[in-house]
Amino acid sequence: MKTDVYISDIFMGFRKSPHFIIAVTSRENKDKWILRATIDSESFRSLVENIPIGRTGEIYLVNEQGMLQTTPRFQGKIMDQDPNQVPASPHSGIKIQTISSSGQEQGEQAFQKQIVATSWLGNPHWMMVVKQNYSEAYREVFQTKWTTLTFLLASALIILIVVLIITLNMIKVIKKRDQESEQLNRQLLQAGKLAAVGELSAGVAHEINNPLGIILTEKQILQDTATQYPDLAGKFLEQLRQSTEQISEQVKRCKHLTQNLLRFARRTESKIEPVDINSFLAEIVDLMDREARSGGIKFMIDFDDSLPQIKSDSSQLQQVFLNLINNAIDAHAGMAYGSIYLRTRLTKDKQNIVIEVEDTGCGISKENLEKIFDPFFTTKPVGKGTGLGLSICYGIVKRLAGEIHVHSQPGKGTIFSIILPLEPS
Amino acid sequence: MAKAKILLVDDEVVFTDNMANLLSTRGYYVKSAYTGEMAIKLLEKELFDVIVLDLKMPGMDGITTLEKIKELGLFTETLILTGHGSIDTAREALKIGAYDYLTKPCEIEELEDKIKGAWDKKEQAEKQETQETVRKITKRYPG
Repeated sequence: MKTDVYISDIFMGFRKSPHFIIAVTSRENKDKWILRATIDSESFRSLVENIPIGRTGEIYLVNEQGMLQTTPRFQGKIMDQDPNQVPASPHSGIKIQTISSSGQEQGEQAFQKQIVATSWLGNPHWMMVVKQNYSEAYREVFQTKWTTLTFLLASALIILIVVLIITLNMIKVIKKRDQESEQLNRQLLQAGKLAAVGELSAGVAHEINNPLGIILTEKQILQDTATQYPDLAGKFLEQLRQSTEQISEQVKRCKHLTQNLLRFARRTESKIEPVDINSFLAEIVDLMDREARSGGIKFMIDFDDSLPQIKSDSSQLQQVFLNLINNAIDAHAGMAYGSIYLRTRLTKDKQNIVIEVEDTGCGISKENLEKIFDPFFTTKPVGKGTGLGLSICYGIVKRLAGEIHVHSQPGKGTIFSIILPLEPS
Repeated sequence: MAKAKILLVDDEVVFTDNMANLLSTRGYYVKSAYTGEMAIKLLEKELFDVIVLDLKMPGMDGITTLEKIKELGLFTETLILTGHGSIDTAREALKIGAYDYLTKPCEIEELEDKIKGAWDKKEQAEKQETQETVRKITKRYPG
């Protein structure tokens, strides 16, 4: 017995409804049987057509001629040519390809990239086509990719921003440190210079004091000797008296000078000790008086007699006031005369003292006023000033827990006010 | 009126000699030493009321000399006369037991004033010591 099975493609026929035929031929001895069944494929088709594949997916069957065997979800009708142009060439297994489909699909944009999986069935020889928009099929993959990418990008951005902020801050800190250390170095250099000058001054003062001592004794011997000769001419005695008086006077002057030098030298040593600001300033004025007078400048002093002693570093304060007074003298350059006022007073709360150094010099313009405490800022000609004086003053006063303020009117003069605590905390 | 016996100690020979001359003229008994060592040697042989001592000297300096003088335990006062205006050293000298200090240059009158003060102090200390000894003796041997 030999049996053949034939399954037709779907056709309309005279029933006007898509159907297909399954014919089974059987030969038994010499007889030949044919069993022919016409199958309305409605329920079969709806089974295939209604398999849900996402929002854009569809599934349908085509025969070898590319004729639709089921109605696709979106385009075409059963018995029509497959409008999706999926090549109906035979192949084995599952073939996956991408195509560009045209036309409107649920109001979406034309020319969608689609992924198509095809597989040939055995009997009937139909090709099953599963088709979905590329974007939908891979939505989750894309989403994951996008999320990962976004996360990575965001992370990279955050890292970049953080690194940028840290770097900028570090640069700022390093710059500040550099500036501070530069200032400190200069200050050390200045202190070193002052110490050297101090040492020299002490040496010079000592070396001068000894001969001065001898001069005075010689003068005295001269006077003593003169008294032993009462018959000396009156005129000579008068001259001798005048001369020895002058010798005494000039030696006293020298002694005053050397003592100032020695005091200056002592103050090149840095230490916190009680300082009587009034007499301290008086000594500095003494030291600077000659230089000021040669420039036609007079010192005017208004000291508060009830000013208490403060605990401070006289060597550092000496630097500050020498600097301020030097600047005050320089501010009168080109003027025939001027004054430098020095004032001291106690603040109302009796916790601080205020020292004012006021000059009648050229004053400081508004734009320069903001910069005067900056290191290396100077208005003096090149080689005249380092631009460090006031920045050093500022550093010293700050370190002694004080404050330094400046008021100036161009053409009228400048006032520097220094506020110092009775004791640096 | 009797005047003090003075020992001048200073490495500045001209200054020392001039001072010795001036003080002798004013009735003082004066000897000069140009180094600390020389001063100590002199002090071992002779008594002085007031020693006028310089601080900065080659060899034994003023402070060491002063310490040595103190070790001798003499009735004497030391006056510092120095060209070196180092107040710190002068203060150190005062701590060790110097009477006072003067800085060069100084007029002879200033020096005489200080010498007089030093001598008075020395005389008083000596008197006190004598009185103390007398009291001790009378205590030990009453009647």
